[in-house]
Amino acid sequence: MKLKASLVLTLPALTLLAASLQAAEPAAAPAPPATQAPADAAPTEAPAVEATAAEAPPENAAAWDIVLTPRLFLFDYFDGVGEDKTHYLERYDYRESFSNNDTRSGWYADLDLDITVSKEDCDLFVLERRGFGEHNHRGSAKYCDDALSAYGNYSHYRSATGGIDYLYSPGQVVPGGVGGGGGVGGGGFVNTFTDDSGTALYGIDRTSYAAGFKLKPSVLGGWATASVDYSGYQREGNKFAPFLLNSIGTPGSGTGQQRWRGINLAVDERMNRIGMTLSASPQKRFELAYEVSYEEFKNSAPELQMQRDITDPAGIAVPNNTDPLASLFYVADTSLVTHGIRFSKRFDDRWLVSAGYGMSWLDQDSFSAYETASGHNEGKISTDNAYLTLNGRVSPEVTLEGYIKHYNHDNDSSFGDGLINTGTLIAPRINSIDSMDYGVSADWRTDFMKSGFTAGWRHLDRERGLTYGSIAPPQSLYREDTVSDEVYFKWSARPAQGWTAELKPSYLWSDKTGLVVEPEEAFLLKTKASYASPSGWVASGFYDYKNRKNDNNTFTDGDGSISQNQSLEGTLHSAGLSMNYMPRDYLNLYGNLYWMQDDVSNYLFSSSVQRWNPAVAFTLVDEPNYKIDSYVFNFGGDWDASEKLNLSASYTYTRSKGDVASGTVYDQLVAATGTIDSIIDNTLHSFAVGGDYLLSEKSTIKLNYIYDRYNDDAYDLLSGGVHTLALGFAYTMQ
Amino acid sequence: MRISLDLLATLAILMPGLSTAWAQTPPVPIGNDLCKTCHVAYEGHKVNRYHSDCLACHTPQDKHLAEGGRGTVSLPAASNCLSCHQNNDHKRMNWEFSPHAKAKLDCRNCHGVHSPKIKELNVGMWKSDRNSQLCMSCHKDVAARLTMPSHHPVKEGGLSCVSCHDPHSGKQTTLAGKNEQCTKCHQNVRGPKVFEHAPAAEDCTICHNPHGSPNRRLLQLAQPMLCLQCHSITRNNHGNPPRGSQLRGCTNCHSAVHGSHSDPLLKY
Repeated sequence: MKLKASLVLTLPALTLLAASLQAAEPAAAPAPPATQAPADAAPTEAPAVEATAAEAPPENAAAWDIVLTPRLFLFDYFDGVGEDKTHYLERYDYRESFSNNDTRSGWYADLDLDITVSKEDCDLFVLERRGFGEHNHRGSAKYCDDALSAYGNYSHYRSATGGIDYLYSPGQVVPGGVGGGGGVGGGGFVNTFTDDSGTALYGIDRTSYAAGFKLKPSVLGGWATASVDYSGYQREGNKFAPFLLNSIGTPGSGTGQQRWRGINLAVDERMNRIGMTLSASPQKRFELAYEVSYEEFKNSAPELQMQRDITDPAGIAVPNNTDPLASLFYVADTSLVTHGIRFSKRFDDRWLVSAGYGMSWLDQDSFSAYETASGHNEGKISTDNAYLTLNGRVSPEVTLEGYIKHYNHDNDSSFGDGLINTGTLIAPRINSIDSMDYGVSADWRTDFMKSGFTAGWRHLDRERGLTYGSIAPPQSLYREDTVSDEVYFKWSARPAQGWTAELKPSYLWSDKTGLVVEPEEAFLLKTKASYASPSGWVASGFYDYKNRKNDNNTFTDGDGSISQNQSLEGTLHSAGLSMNYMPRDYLNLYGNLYWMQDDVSNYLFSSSVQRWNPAVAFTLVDEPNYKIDSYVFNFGGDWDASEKLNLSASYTYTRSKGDVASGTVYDQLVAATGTIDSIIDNTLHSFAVGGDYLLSEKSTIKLNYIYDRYNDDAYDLLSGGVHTLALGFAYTMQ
Repeated sequence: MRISLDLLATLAILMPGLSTAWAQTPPVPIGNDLCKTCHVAYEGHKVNRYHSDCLACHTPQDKHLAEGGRGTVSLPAASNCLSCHQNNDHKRMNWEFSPHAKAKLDCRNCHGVHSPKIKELNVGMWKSDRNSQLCMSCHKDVAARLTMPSHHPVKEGGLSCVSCHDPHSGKQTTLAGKNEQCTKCHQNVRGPKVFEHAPAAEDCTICHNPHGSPNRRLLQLAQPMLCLQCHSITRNNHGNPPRGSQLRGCTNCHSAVHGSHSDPLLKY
């Protein structure tokens, strides 16, 4: 039954496209005349290709090729949490047994399907379905002939990452939800966490689907194409949602302890988008494309209101001194219209100009009760984009390029006093973002080690229109302007037979940064090299370095008498080494090693009173440091052991280790939950082996075994493993 | 993986035998039949009929006919393919400005004209789609990110590299804003919101690494350090300095971190 359900999305596409195939078959694939464009293209200037069209084979019968591969999956989770919680290895790989809906051990079945209909050496229709169980399957179908191409696809996938969020939630980690709370004296807002979520398991199913068709030049005068594309998705499930109530009760008292909550939040969303594209190349003089799309996003989950829906297990009613109509996690219905027009033209086969302009209007179609009561009745964001690029080959060795790009984002939403006023506004309201980005580069090719040199410069100027509320501009680290310049250089070469090398340093400096995380200064270095030997092995390696720092942004106290800058510095190293060895055409071996280190520090301040008061004493508490190393090591191979037997194996080791913070922050995290939040220390082993054995000309047996083991030395609750065995039988019909 | 050696393998197949077959005077005119006397590996390969003429894409030098060997026959450059495939195709009209073109890649580096580039899926990636496997054969750093504790489920088959990336174009010629690439699937966080959070409104990648991260929720840094970069001085009701279990995760309380319709402090 479940298999039927999972196939239900494939069959309409199959029916639709098979019908289309039937309709098209009598006239399918006529041999184009020598002067007519082949397939989806205008006539080429290459005589050889014209000859191809002229020599197209005569029409013949369609050939069907069908491969059915039913699969049986056996799985068994070992160690780790039971069915009442989300297993760590379940987060991206949710399974459920057919026999008793067991999610820890059992079996399920699925079907892979491949159908190809060919005619005149051309695949007219291809359908493919891949199934890995009720919660992970996908399919696609496409049809193509000289006049029309059409496609359809879907995918269904369940993610259970919300369950991992829940395992980290304050209510699950003791004493993570108790003690050490806020407030000047401690024990205030977050003194006690109240878990109202019940015993829910968290998972979200996303089912995506798309279909479309394209009319080819042969039906549009030989110089245009038109396509219609539809896409959509349905997202359903639930997620864990913690929140904090406003000023309810007295901090430290029984009522105050009810402020911090976590609930089981329903997710029920749908999106549908329809778009049309017209592309034209009149007399091959230039390329022009126009795109328009309309999208609707609808949220069907019930609106949660503060007073109506938040119950208090201790019997303490949510008082009216907070916002009784306030919505929790409200997701509005929206609609989006986009237009875009693009143009490109080549001059003398040396110069290429490309330009485009696009705009979008995003409208909020539903409003929460709170917004309505507050007079907020219009949500609207519009964007404008434009680009112009020019690429020219000024000599056989030298190419120049320049570009300019503009982006504008306007928030034209209503600004009701009842909801958004300078009293309630804490962070600035973003009314607009206007960005201009431009640059030039030159590329020089030389015979010296078959090198290419590129030097370039780019500039970014971003202006924001902000409305500040109770925190005045000098007291905020968010600023209106970002202005930066970057110069870069790139050398790429083939210094010897089989060798490639690349070096790309760049330096960025910025006089103004709107956000602290934007760099005032950044240095990047990218390097890589590779070698391919005639004997069949390839090795490549890379090392990337990025350092960013920002001391630009400052904040002041209420009267501006005390100023303090925020300092941030981050360094990211990453390096990798890969090898492929193919000693025989039936054997391929590979190995990859990757290392990354992320190291970020920034200032942490405190103040004894609210920082926007006058004459506040800012205290530099510490400069905590996040430093995590990640390693990924992977090796494996593919071996065609005989004409009947193919074997494949892979092992992947992934490790992440380091301290989330240092100093005061680290000490506080250790005090709160020990290692759970203060460090990252985990290892994932994933071993897979599989093989295909050809039983007969039409049947193949397929067997895969996968072993996954996750160890978390920071939070042992997450550790666990899973065995998976997949047995398939492929049968070919022609 | 097999795919990463595809071109090499092709060349290895091409080399042997060339010298013997064409060292003799060709008994038939130069064309498909002659080519396949040596390139037997391509005999029986199904190709689109517009790709079925060897000489439409390859021009053999005299040396190739006499001795064979690598470098003696031209392979199609991107411009050859685009002479047909760029016309009336909005997806490829800006190929020249794409990072792939600037890296001097040709169409054949990704597209197998004679046979699919990805012949078999290695068992370690058996759930992913073929496009993603092809991308990861070069983008090893991304492949590594996709195995980190938090990642977009590409290897698991939940989505594909091409769900987000257009390999035939680049940022220079896109008409979408930075966040629009993310919000075409994550509409629930795009707003309009009454109370916005600046990094969420400006650029999702300030907080998230879309490929993978050692931190939960694809976060660039773990909480609270991610938040403390900008919120280096918190309101004093978080303690002086902030302390205790509230440092575990700022979003445990400020969970409407992508913006709120009700609360200026983004608590719900």
